[in-house]
Amino acid sequence: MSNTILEIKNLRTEFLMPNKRHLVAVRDSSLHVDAGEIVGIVGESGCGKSITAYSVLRIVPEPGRITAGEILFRGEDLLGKGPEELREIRGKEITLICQDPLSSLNPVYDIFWHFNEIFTAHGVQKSHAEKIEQIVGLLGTVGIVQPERKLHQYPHQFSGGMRQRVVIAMAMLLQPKLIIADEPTTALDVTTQRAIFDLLGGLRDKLGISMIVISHDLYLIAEQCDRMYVMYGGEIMESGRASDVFNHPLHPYSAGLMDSIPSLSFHQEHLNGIKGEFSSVFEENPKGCCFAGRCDRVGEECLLTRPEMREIEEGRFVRCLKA
Amino acid sequence: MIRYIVRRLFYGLITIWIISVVIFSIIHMLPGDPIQLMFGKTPNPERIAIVRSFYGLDKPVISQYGLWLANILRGNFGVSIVSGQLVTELVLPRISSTLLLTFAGLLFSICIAFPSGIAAAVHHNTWKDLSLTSISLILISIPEFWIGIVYMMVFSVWLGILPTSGYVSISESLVGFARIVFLPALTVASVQAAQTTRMVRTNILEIMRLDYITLMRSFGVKEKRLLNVHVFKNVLIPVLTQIGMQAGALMGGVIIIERVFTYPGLGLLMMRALQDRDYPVLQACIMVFALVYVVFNLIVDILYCVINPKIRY
Amino acid sequence: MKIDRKIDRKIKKYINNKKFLIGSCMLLVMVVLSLFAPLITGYGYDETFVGPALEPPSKDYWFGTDRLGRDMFTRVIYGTRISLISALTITSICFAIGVLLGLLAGYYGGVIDMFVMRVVDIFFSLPWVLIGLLVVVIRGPGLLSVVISLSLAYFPSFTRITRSVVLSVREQDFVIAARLTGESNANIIFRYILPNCFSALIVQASIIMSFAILGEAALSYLGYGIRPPEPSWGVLLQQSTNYMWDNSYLVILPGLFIVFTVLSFNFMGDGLRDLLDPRYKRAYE
Repeated sequence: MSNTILEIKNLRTEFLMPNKRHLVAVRDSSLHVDAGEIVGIVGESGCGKSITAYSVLRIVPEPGRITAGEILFRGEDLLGKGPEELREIRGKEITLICQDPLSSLNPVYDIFWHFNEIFTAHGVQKSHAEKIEQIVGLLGTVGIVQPERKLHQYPHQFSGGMRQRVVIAMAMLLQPKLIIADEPTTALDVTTQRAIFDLLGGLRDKLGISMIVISHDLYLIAEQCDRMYVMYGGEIMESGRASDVFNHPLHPYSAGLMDSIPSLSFHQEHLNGIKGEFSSVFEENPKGCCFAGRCDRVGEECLLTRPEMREIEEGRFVRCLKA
Repeated sequence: MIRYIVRRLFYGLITIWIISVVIFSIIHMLPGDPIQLMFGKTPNPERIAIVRSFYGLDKPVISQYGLWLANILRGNFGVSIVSGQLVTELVLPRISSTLLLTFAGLLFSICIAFPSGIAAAVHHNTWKDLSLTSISLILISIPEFWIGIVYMMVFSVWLGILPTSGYVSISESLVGFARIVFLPALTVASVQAAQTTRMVRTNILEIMRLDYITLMRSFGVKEKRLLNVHVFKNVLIPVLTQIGMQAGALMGGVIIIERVFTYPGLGLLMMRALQDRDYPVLQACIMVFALVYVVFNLIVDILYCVINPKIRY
Repeated sequence: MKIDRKIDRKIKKYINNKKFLIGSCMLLVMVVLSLFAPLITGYGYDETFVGPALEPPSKDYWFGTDRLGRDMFTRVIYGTRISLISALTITSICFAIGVLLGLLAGYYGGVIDMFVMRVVDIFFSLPWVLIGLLVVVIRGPGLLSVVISLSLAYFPSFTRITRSVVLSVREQDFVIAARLTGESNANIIFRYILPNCFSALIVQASIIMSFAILGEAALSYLGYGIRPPEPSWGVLLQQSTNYMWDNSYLVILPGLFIVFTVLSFNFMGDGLRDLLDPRYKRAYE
């Protein structure tokens, strides 16, 4: 286990709503990321993917709280760390790439300022020229042409794809061990999505940075990731090697997800979606499987017993009584 | 940026022009002949005719307006009907005292509003936030003139530490002037600050939730810096817009407060002129107010440009 | 039954919003006071020497008496009538004119939009005291002058809000569909677009109510609005100012009444914004 960068054990993140109700956004979730590995998390919107990512960085928005579990980063529990220790880890060891590049850069400051803020936050002592040189180099790496000219431009002068490249460059600035990309391509058009994913994959190959990529784009996850986790209703439903999960999903939910991908290779009468709608109300202590309401393989026991994560074969886990 | 400011300037000029048309037509619609009023109870028909042609009042309305506007542009507002003094002599010294009051009030309000708005946002949903928001909600519900009277009662009548009225010009004695201007400015500031506090608070809360703040937090930027630098500059944009939009209300408040404290500014002069039907003075005051308003907004626009790069480029 | 429960839930939602609840209760108190004024006090608002002059508040004269021995409490609650009625009139006029212009400007766009918005901008930018002054120059002080000047001063906010909603709704599918099925413009404007403006407009209306009360009081205080003997709050305070040295209750109590009334509308406005404005809703749902 020495090459494990991040290990999340039985994480539980709750939101204490104004009406005193608890919404459990992430429940009993465990995952790990090894050195140099890209791990994908897939699931529909609202399933707790992003909250998992925010939990790792301990930046869950109010009124959210991490109420149980452990988050071990290189063997140290992040939940036991003080705010200042955490702050030093953020941006230096673990970095985040946000979902919507159009809103992830501060509109009133230029690009250089954004990078400089990270330098300042981590007390990096460098001359102005050195900083510029490093930033320009990075911007070049992430595929921005004429980076030295872009340095003093403002976010609104960039396209969405370009802004996401800037964010990626920011995420790489201090050579972190782990990058968490929260739906890095959702807000972008298809060709740009591809380019960004290729860029992330390339960075891993070149620099050996581990990554967690969160997305609902199954194809891109299956193609770029080593392993993947499927989340539903705040719980991890299935995990395993990306290609295995993609090609032979064990959980009915994963199977439904894979089925709902439109295919061009043969004529399809209609898309197989998943029946029913995802209910966004997370009960505090549910009875039975949270997917039972929509499952086509549902049995009586599914409504009574909450399934635990089971190892089906080596490195292949599923949370389903029927699988 | 220059094109933006030129456009705003152009709009401002249009506003002033329309106000001038309005004033001119109002004065024309008024019952009673201003020239006859000028001569009082002993009209002399021949002299009236001479004066009439002197002011161009025997010409068609349009050319009368042209003449009138030309005079105003030259700074010639005529003579006060009541005192016979040149209107410019009456108005000019008042401008500075009104401006001093307005800016003192604005400065006060900004000094109160930003710290309290930030405090309320930072301590969101705690008793501090609750008390600050309650105070500001109560303050915006108070009529300006009443809060002025109450301040006067507290500071001048009960505590006896500040004068209720009178005027000491700033060149005579800075301390004396400060004592005079303090209560009116505090009154202006109270209502303004309450509004700005609410504005600052909601905007901080809104911006704090945005992705670019979350992202920079995830890069390890300190919370203090996020608030004071990252959020702050973004909050300035809507707050500045708001202050610009409230310029009219601000000036209205100043006019009323001058009356409450009998503070010798433009507003008081204007109200006295209205009482005395001293139209040359009245129109000059209104024109100056319109001008001040336009200039104020232009300053806001320029500041806006400085802060907001989307407009600068 | 199902509909019942839905309405029930809606009412509950409003009751659960503390600001809205407090505001409407406060307003209810004021409305009751003004409606039943003759039942609540035995004195007439202009009845002189019902007691000794300049008497401090007591069991018989809750707010004391003024220089002419008139009961201040009676005058203040009759003032509530004037204040609420004139504020309601002003707000209704602003609403009607403002919304109509906003609909026209937003729906038709082009030259109409440009013209309407320039006019609106000018009225929006003029200090309302200045508008009041100009109206008084033309037609002298009085209730009608107050209504005209405050209507002119405050209708632009309704126009701006309506226009911005119309602009965002105009190109939405249901409006385009209505246009394609040959609905008349009037039908589209009033049946498809206007309902979408209401939540923002209701919030604005409660804010303008509070502005109108403050504006009426201020104009009457300056002597440009309602004239004595009508007991407008502004008039009362104007008369009381001369006695602030020895009879501060004459200034403080009527003033607190104004604050109470205006506060009720501001509470309601804040509450309604939380309830109706989707921007604020998102924070919790």
